[in-house]
Amino acid sequence: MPFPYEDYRVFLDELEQEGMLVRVKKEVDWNLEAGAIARRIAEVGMGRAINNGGTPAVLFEKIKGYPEGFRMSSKPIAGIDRCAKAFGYDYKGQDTASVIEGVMDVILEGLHHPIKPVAINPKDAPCKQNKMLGKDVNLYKFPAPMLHDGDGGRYLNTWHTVVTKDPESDWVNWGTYRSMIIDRTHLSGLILRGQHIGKIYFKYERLNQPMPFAIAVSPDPVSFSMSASGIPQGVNEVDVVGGIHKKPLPVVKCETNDLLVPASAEIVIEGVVLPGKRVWEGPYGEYTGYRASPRDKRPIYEVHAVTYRDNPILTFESTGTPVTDWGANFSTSAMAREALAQAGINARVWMPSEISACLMVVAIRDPIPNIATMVKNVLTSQLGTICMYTYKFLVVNDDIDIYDPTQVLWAICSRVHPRRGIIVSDEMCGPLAPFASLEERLKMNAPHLTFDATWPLDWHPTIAVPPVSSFTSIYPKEIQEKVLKNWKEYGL
Amino acid sequence: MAIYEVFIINDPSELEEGKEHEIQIRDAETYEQRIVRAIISSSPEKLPGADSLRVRWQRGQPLPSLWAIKIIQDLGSGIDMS
Repeated sequence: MPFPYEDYRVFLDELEQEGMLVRVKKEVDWNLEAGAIARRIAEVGMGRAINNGGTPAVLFEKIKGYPEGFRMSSKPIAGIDRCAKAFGYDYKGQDTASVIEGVMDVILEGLHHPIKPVAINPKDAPCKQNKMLGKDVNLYKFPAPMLHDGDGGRYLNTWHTVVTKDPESDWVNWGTYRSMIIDRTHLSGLILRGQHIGKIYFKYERLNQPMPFAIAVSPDPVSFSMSASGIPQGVNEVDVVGGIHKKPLPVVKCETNDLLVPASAEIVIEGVVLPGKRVWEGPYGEYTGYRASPRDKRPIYEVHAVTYRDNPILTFESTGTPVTDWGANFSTSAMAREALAQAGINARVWMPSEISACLMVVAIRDPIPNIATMVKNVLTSQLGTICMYTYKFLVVNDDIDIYDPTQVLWAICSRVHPRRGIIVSDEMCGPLAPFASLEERLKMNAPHLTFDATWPLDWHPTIAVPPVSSFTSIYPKEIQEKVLKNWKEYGL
Repeated sequence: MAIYEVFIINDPSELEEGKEHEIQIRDAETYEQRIVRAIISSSPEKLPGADSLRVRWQRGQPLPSLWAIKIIQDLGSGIDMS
């Protein structure tokens, strides 16, 4: 089936046909085993393509203690090839830089040409095949995993989209915010003031009103990626999904509120987030690679209805050390590139998956004075939530391959002046930052670093800027051509 | 004998030993959270026949040895008290 993959199962079938998915028929335990398998997949594969030593996506068909048909999956877009495929980008035969820039172009095309969703008849919506309403709701019906030993609970929602609507405008936010089971009918999770869901929720709470929500578990891959991205406040992610798909995303109205969810989602959880009430949530092993944010009192999701497909697939993300996923890296980098372009800064941007979103690298084509500070200011002001997740910015000249982690590390260590090249600024910071003190986490304010790895503009480009000693730069063209032509004859 | 878990924020001394009190715990198998009235002890021999209680720091690391817990009354998941 060709792109777009509006249905998660269609995407999984395609992955299987191309050797990118493994069906695990052996029974696995939702209690730590499934999470451990997915974690090891991430650490062994490191996000590489399958034909380059990467590891596959996984579908667990038999879950301990659960009836036949109740399945789990993980890592659907955790390889660069699978992620490119999810966006309909033809990655075959292309180098990493081309794939990354190509997928970002696809995302920006969707942002520039959004297409609103189309609401379908509930009778035609796969997510409505089964229903639990009111007192019949039981979140334990699904194999919510205990992902890491010592987590605060069973995190039902780690690969999903949370739908909420701003009470003062037409803005409908799709975001990915973790939540764990408290009891049969309640969840709790991170809702922070700097997050888009926080900006909406605290408006309701100020009015002492419950905030309607819908959580779509295992949506199509582009919907998940856009939910996990830095799409600007006020922009409806579902419209960008339609723009990327080049057709409206089919959505369906919830049972208990007016929110619209992806019609093909595997599980839909509906209800309200209660105002003024909190319960202990966490800790949780996060994408930063640490379980840094401690247990704390967080808002409560009161569940009023759950609908789900026959033989539902609960997709989860076993977050931790790199490389966890690619979806958020592509989409957030694309938004950063867009923000810089709107500020008149011509740049390539990449948030390396190998550094878990903690670093954003910007390669400047046309440097100007104080460009590093300017880049940081644009990104932190235009992508307000970025500071919560990205703590370091690296600004380099355009000769650096920002998609190669080795070149990124080389640029930091060889081009950043220890005094004038390090800029410290106080920014909004999420509680997940491993380096932040408890006080900094509670205040959500911690220093960020900007590394200026650009050559000073007053350095003569030929006399003062050191020439790079590499095969492509320090040998005459005819020597390069001769060596390449005779490479095999050398026995190399 | 069941195993339950409890989280502490800064120090085991936060846990009140030897007298009946309300405490939030979770079942170590199902991870279901409960508020209970219970007596706990860092010395299991002081509560013969009691269930085990694993104490975890606020970031999830377990203390090296198990405590004991004698549950007097189950008060629910705690949602109504939040």
